[in-house]
Amino acid sequence: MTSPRSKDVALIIGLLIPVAMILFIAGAIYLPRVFSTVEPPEHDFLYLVGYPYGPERFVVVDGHLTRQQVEEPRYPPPHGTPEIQFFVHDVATNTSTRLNFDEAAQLSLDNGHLSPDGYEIVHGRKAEFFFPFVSSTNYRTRYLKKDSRTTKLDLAVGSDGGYSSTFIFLGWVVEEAQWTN
Amino acid sequence: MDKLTVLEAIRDLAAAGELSESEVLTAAREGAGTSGVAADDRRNRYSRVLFFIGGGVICIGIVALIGQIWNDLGPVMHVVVTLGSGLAAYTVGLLFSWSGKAGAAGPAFFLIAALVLPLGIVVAMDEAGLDPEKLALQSLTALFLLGVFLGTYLLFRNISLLIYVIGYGIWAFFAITEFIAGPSPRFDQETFIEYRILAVGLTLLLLAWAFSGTRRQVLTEPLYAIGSLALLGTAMVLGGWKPNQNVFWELAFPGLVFAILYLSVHVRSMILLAIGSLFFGGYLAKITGEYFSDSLGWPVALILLGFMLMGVGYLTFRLKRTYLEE
Repeated sequence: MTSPRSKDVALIIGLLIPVAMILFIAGAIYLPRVFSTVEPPEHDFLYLVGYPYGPERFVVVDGHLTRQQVEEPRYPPPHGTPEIQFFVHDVATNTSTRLNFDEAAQLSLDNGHLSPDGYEIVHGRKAEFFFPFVSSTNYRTRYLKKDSRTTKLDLAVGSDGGYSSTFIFLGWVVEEAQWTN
Repeated sequence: MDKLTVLEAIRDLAAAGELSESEVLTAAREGAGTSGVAADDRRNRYSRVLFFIGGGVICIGIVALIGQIWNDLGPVMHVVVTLGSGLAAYTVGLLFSWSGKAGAAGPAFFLIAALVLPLGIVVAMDEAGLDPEKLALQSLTALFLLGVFLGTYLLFRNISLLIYVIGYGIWAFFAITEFIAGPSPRFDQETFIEYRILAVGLTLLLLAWAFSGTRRQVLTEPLYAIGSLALLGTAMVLGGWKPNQNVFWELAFPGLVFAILYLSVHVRSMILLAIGSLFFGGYLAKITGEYFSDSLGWPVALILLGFMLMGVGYLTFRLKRTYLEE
């Protein structure tokens, strides 16, 4: 193993390792979209956007969205706080449709962490600093994820800071609702 | 005995497998150490060290000076003092290396260029309205600098340039992989970083092996050290801790440690032996704490661990005495 040839081989393998890893990562990111055996998501979900600490709280009770009055907050909401908005997200088209409370309350919901078909909503990643050795959670991006299948969600959530970009998951839609008819 | 006869004898012995490359190099170095060549070599080494220390101090001075007057300068001057300084240092390095009469001054100016050019490029991008933190731009910057310094190395074959090539290569690797992975949560954050460090460690070990016994021999030990630290460190972290342990990496780790210890004997590297032994001790401590502290209790587990660490110490001592101190 000390011949010049073996050292040439070591040099070539050493240089090929990073290249192979780059190709592997690219394959792992892009190929599952083509060859994935994981079924695409089927269950839409309901979420709200806005200031969630006002006098009304929205929670899922017995599979339906309910409105609960709470004691008036000691501190008033910040100036310019957007109103609460409900959206149902269609996972097939990756689009959100705005609903009013009455429409949202008619949906049958499962507020578990995982959807009935095993998907979860997770945040994306981002590199930190100039040197990309450290990455952290990117709280501005959300994905539907199950095993190797991930889909970036285009939600009706503001991109700037503040309560217009506050996303609160309420539940997976498990039954066709009246309002869609 | 004349030189041709000696070289012929070396060829015969090497063909018979009775003489290795490292033995010839060691003999040549020992011989050189008894002559006036050693004194010249030592003087040159001090001169090179002083040139490089000077280059590093100049870099610190440039950055400090730029920091002091930054707010008083306009956008164009921001680019001139950063990118301009880097380009000037690179040009001087080229001219000195080309003339071949300035000793290590050329490589020292390349050191300044290697440290200041990335800053200059980032400032230039920022002033041009681009976001230099974007991974695509980072990847291009790292690849550009890698190409420039690799080309310079191929031109002058100066070993110090290889250090910058390796450094920029690692930067490019991390930037490109991060760019490809994007914000997708397909990979777990920590595991993604760990596997990439593992790959870099393996590459550095192979580069060290490829450089051994060549003109680039001086890089071998540092590369062995960094590569083995990266490889064993990440392999241990990937093993995790009960109940979230990764059985594959916990079982593979002793194999990796023994591979490093074997390599240390094969290439006669003290640093590999030391790092391999330390990680072996660390692994024994980890496994004892993870699996035996509950059943045996901490006092007995510590006694056992103490004996095992003494065993590792003895193994290291025997390997060093038998194979590395001939």
